[in-house]
Amino acid sequence: MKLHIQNPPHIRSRESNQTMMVDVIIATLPLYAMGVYYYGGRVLLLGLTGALASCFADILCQLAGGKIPNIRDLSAVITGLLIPLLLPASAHFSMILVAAVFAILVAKQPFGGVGQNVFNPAAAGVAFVIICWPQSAFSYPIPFERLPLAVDETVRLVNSPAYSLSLGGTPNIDLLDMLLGNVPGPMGASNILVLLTCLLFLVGRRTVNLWMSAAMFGGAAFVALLMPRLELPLLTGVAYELMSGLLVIGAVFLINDPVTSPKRKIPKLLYGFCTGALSMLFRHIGRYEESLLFALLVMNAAVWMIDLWGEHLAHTMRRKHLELAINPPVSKPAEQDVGAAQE
Amino acid sequence: MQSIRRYRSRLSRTSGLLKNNPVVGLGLTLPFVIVPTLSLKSGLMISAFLAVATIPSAILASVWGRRIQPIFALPCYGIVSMAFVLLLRWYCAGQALLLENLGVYLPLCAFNGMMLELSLLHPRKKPLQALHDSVMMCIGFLLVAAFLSAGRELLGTGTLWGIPVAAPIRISGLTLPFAGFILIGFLSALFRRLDGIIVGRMLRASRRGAKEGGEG
Amino acid sequence: MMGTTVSLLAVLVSSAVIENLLFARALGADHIIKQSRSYRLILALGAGIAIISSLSVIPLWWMARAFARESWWNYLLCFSAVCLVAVFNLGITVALAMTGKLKRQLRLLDQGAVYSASLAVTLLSISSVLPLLGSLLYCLGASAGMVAAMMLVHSGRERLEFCNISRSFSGLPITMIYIGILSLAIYGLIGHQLPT
Repeated sequence: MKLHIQNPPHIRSRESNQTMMVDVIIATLPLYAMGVYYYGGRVLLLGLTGALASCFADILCQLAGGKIPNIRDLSAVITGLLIPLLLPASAHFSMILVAAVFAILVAKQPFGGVGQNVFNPAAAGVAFVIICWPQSAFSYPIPFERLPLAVDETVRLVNSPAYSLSLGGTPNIDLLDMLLGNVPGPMGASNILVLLTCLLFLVGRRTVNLWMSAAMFGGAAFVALLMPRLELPLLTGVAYELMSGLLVIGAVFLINDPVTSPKRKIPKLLYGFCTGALSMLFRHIGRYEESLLFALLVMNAAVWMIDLWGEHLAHTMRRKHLELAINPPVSKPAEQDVGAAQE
Repeated sequence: MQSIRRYRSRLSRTSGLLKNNPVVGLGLTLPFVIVPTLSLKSGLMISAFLAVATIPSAILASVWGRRIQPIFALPCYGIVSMAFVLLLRWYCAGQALLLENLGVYLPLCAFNGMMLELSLLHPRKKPLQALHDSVMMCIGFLLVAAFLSAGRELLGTGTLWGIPVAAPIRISGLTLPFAGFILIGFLSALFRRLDGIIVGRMLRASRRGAKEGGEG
Repeated sequence: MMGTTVSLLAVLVSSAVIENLLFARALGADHIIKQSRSYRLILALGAGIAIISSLSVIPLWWMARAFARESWWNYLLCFSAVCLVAVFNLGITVALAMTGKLKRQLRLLDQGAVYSASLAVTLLSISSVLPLLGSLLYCLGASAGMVAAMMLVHSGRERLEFCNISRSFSGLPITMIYIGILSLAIYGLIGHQLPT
């Protein structure tokens, strides 16, 4: 029997890599539309820069490796589109370029290219840029203030609700405003309602797994309930924690990367839960106001161990089922028991 | 094939420099090239300390190696290396800031990978051979450390040898340990790729030559 | 009492995670490429490092209290640390051999890794200027963190065997890039450069 080795995602339907990626690109379009609505046309240029830089870096790496360049799977385009959504709309173009090049050159191509990467490229690229330029990465423009092409000192930049939470203070923002995205924050991460709609679209198209995203919210909520940072009613505090930072966009786009997530159901739930919990834990003890990307990279490294445990669990359960099927438990009939007692 | 053999024999004469480079070839002394090389001065300083720790113990191993019990060999060479490292540290006492920047990596030079390789794992039989190989390895380390530290200082802090220089871009993340790991990985891959390209070209040229010779 | 316990726990956690020997200081990076693929050996090495460094720290801590202000203290510290690590390492090796628990001698490479890691942990513990219990906990935490990091990288290398990595990147280069990205993730906790 000839076995064919194939890279993830492992698809058993008429879907292909390309159709999945197109679904994700369609899901990012509403976020860009909301970005244009809040901040102006600069948002589209950032997205274009990211996509072009990623594709160019991908083509160069493939040429350097002696391969025929192929960007038709659109994975590089998605990486390039996701990067600006994780950063402020006022981010410099050089930050987007550096993040895109790092994502492809360091986190994707050395590991073998599409389907082989161990770490999420967009998360690695943005994490690098956050460390290099923390001031620019955590300063956000105010919604409805149109941004010029070149952001200078005249543009007013403020902190996000996540910063207030990191200091132990309650953000001076209504929960409804946080839901509608009318708050300073990462370009694509503050529109919670739009993000949840994108999640429903992707779940409906069977591109992402709802349970992994739900497990991630569960893990984050669990830690937020155990270690509340705010002196508010518990559920209100948890709502603020879940809606601030990159948690929701991470649950929609980053955690559901089919290449860097586990393969079986129970490991996927464990992976999602641990990512959410670790992200909240990093918020407590880490230096940065937002740590989802760092927690995600650590969990990407642990996916192999989670997958091995999942395989072991699946084999154990299958063996137990087989044993039960072959040797079902025998129960003695009632007459034989009475007869034995009389004797 | 003759040209490839000639190329390989020329490389093996300078083993430790390019071929079997301790950092990008053999993967030795990685901590010393990843963390302390944040400036060109630090890179050169740590290379000097590593040389002082490696060369005497390599020569000692070639002379006395067979007479020392294996169980006592490592502590013996370690103490000798540490003595030389502390001697150089006393000599460089005026460079207090540089020495402080090197921190715990300075005493750790006594147990560096090159010392282990040349004194314990593959001790040389003759003192001259030990001297030649240890010097080549130390120069190989110096090349990589100097290149990396100059690049990180220039692009990370915008200076070179402490003098401000106009750099095309400033990426402060390059001065952190994770950047050192990634840069070493790419440098090592580049060395292998260059070696592969050179050998590939020689192979193609020799095949072309053989084909033309056959047709002639 | 509560405050002391919390601060000691903080020392343990920070030495294991934030000041991780492998990810934050790159110590053990050269050994990780050549180490044998055995989780048991990694645990044994970690235990050895913890015991040797803890034993070495005790006399050094008392010496630091007496001589830390002298100009020659750094020289005395380095030389004494090397001698103490060597003595305790030899002692433990001989004791294990006599009790029959040491089935065969460790590879020279692994011995070198234990020596250098023990020396590093001892020196870092003394330079942190902690109380004696804090220094001992630092040694334990640093060793535990190093073991966890090595296991994480070891499992990562198993994963990398299934990737279609090009010849130029296989082995040392891809392992360095893998550790680099993990180190980037751990840096998210630290947020600032550690003193060397």
